[in-house]
Amino acid sequence: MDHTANVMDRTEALLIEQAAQGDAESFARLYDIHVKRVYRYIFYRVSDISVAEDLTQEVFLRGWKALPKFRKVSNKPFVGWLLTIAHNLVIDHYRSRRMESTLEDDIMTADTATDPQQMAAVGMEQKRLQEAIRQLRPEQQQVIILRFIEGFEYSEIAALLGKKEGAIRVIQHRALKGLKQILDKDTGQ
Amino acid sequence: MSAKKEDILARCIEDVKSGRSSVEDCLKQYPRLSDELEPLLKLAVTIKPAPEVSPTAAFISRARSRLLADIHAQQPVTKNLRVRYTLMKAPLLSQRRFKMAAIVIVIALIVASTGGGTAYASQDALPGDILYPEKTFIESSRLFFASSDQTESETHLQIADNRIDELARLPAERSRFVERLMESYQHHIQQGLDSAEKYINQGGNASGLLNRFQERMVYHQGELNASCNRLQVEARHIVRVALNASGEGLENANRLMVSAHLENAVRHMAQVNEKARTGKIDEVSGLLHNYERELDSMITAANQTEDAVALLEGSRERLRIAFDQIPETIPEEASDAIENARLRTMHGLDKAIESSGSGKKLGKTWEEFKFEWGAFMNQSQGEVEPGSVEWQNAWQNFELEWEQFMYQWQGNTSGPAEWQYAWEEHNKGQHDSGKNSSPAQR
Repeated sequence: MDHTANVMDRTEALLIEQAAQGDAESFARLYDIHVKRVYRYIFYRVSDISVAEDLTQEVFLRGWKALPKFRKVSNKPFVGWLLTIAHNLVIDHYRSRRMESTLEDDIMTADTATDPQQMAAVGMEQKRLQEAIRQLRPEQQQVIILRFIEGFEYSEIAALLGKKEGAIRVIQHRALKGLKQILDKDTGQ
Repeated sequence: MSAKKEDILARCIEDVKSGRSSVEDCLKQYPRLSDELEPLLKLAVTIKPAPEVSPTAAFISRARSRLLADIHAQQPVTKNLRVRYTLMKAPLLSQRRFKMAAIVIVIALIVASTGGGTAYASQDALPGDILYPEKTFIESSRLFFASSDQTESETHLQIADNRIDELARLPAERSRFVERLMESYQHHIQQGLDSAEKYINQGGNASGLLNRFQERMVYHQGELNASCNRLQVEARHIVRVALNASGEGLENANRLMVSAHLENAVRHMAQVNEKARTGKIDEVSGLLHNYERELDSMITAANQTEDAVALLEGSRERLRIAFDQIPETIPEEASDAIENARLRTMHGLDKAIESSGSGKKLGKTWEEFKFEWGAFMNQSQGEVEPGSVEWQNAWQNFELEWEQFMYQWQGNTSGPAEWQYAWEEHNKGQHDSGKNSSPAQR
């Protein structure tokens, strides 16, 4: 690990420690550091700005409440832990929406509600892939996003999900197979 | 066998992504699995990190303020002060973002320059320790980069907390540092309250912030008292001075709390005015409810101050002006509700002013009495509430709600028409405490 990363990690540890003791301002600084990454993770999965904003806000509020629990599990990277909360919220979001509509409707709604500038940045091919990922099982989605989109190591993902590294590689294999099937089906192959 | 296939896929993905080998190289290494590996490997390579999709700056700022407000709203409050703040005003976005980034960098630099763990370890440092200058430097940095008057005020309070903690842990042989500690404590309490006042003047909702000041300063006074008994004689005088300053600070926090609730009430009334004028009648009753809640909290807060009458009279004038600004042309369904609120406000404030004005003049306070006669009186008189006042050889707590006052009207056990008459000067001497009393009406 380079020196800068090391310093930042120590700074983060200090902020976490202070926040866990009830210092709201320290937690606000953690928010400053990680808000963009959490937002990006959620946006990638919901493709809706207002939903991404609401869920991002909720992630940090839940993070604050659950901070004492996080401190007991020292092997998890803090941002990864936040993304796990984000993952659960995204699942809850789709569950609640499924009460009113189908998943396909969700995707259609998400497309039409998306900001054109942001979607242009995503790119059509990636967009198709993004939609396909959203159709995977939640755990598979999480592994694919954490590994390929967010760039976490297998060991980190394993720590975040409370599984062994071997299990993560199995999930990744199944997820890629599932993804291939979804994409082939879309293109009529 | 199946597990191995997954491991091979994972290894190939890593090699290809890191550029150590190509898809073709990997497939050549595992010819038996190449049919299955090839499409998965090619697919994995196409999944790229998410592009830089960023939330808007306005959202980042708004969500941050909301997060802090929610956090503070979850923190415990005293029983007496019920209103907690629900909205916090965010300062200019660019300023906040810059400052937050800067403070992270400063802390990072401190950590880097001192070898890492020292910044953390300095949190527990005491005056005279090697790490103590680092601790105070971090505190100063936090103040320097405070992003708003509210944050600045909170930081001052945290630093004052630190001084009290240090005093409590200071070994007797380091008593020479007491003066410096207490000077710092008084400075940060004063500055913290000044920043809170600025925050109120800028339209911020400071009730939660002031609530924390009140709670912490009551705690500080307990700690300062305890330290007095522990420290060497020459240091005690210094702590007593700080104790007095803390008492004055608490009184100032109480006064500011009245201002905070008053400003909130005025703000709600301005919203009522706007909604009524624009015909959004259905929103008026909710706003009036909020307004009256702030009004109640303001009266409660004023009664905790020594100059309640002056504060309440000033508030009454301010609210009178706020009501006067509402035009008569607003729809009738709103005007009735607003007029009722106005009448309740004026009546409630008049009664509060009346009771605050006379109740405290009737006799000595329990604290004054105890000071004259010694602490043994506490036992002979039984449990006496702080702030109680001597009257007719009994101790009455005028700080409590009127209905908690036990009362007997001489020769007329039905009691007075209203509790407020009990406090009138011409009725002095006609009342006595007794168990059969109750007011005819409240």
